[in-house]
Amino acid sequence: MGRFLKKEGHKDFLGRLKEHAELIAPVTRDLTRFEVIKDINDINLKGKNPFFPIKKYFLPNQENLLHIRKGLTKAVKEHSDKRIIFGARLCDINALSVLDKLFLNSDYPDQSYKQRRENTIIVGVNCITPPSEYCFCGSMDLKKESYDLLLHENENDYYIDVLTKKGEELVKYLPEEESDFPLPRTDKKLEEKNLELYFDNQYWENDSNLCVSCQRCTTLCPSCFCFDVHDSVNSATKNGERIRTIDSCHSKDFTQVAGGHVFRDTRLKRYRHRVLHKIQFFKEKFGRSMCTGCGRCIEYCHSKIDFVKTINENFT
Amino acid sequence: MSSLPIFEKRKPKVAIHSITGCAGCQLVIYFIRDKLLDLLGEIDLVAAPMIKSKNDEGPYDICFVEGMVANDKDIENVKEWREQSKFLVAFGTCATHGNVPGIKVFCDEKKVENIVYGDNTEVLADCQRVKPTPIEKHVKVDYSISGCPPEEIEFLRMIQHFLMGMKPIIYNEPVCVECTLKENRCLLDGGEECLGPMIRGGCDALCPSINHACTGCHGPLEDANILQVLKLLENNGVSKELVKQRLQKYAGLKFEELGVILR
Repeated sequence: MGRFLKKEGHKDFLGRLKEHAELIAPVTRDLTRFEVIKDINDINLKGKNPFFPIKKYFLPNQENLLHIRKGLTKAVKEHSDKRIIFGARLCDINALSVLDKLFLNSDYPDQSYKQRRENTIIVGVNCITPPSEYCFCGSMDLKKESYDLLLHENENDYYIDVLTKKGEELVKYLPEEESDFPLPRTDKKLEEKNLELYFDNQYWENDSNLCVSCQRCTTLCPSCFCFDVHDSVNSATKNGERIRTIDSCHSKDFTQVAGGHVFRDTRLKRYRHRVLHKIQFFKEKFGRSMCTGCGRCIEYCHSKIDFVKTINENFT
Repeated sequence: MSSLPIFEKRKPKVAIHSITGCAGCQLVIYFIRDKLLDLLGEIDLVAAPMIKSKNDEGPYDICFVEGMVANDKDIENVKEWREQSKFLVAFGTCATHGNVPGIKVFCDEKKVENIVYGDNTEVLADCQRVKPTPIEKHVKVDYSISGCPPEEIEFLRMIQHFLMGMKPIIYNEPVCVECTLKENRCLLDGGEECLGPMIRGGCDALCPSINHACTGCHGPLEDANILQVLKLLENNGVSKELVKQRLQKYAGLKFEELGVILR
């Protein structure tokens, strides 16, 4: 069941969100970024999809997993701060479904991730037109999932799709009515191909020759989750932290093992692995593509390496 | 590589030595005011001529050397410290890459000396003409922390790793990584002469964060795709002359080794 919000009521709606919890939404300065909102007039939904995806609110770039006190481990305090993320788009939201598969795995749920996920309300917006020419989510089989509320803009009002109780609480003052809305459409599309056949294709190498290993593709990817864990302990006091930091498969050190051997020692191997993991390996294992088609890895690549174009046009 | 030290029985003996350079790298260490006293409780700083009047000869467990080799005395010194040290660490871009003094390699030697010393024949006669070179050209270096000056966090982390009995982990990613994590607008994509993708980070993208293109003070990554970065700079309309100057500035010799033609 959904709700309808009149256009003139949207400021009131945002005000209610802001009162409910810390509000995070896109703000445009030199770039559009997700920021904590002080004034709801700063929010800009008309700009580009924010530079950095919402994964940073669930998997921070750096976080403490454990405290070490006098050589003994001590749990970190719970991440109980409530927040609302407003204005995330379906690509970023569907990427959370990908992260959930790993970090909310029933055998080994990640406590920090789980707490952040439970304490965050996601109020998404549906894209009417793609915010960037690099978007190709129209071909990535996005689903209406992993958000609490989703706003779809009609001519005179917003239809608010409600998925959870947490979301329902925020909109129960609005008139209820069942309706439907279309998923975003994009001109750019990734064609489905059996990539196994093209493993040794020359075009992987052509693309990887343009790669400068800056790791922006993985850093800005809404579903890239690779991390590194290390201990930082003061030898005298035996106090310290176990720290998790974001990592990238495009780094040469990523596959270095004890003894110094590096498995993916060339840019070709690293680039090919990223793309295949995104759209093939993950799918084989978890039944869905890891890529949600936000296009950031192409748009923010220094060399504008376009794996979608390569697969569509050159793998024949 | 010698075996990792076990420092459980005693504090490691640390030396901080200097050859030709501006001494700014050492200052980074001495300016770690809030952590310096803690640090001195964990290590035995046996030699640091800049701040101590009594300095011991080796053996040292860890010897940090700043500056680059510019004369015979420097060569003598680094050889001596090498022999006396379990681990020798090149500290700062002079020590690791030759840095600004290394520019002399790309100039007419006589002309440079003339600009500096004029026709002071006495000094000129004393000029022992040693090619300005990083330490690793003369002795084996175990670890390098580049930077002009290096970051205090990298120094502290290395000491910490030594004390934990592990092989030091030195940040080995391009400037772009930290820059992107800080959500900076990309200067290179914006048409500027940023060297970020081929330069070792660890600086928390200090310059790009205040809208100043990276000039490469940490020197290049071994694994950098220099050819492509140069192409991107060319696409941005950055003049060949400027790129050449930027590459010569901190690590000209290293860039030459990696295949860039700079003369």
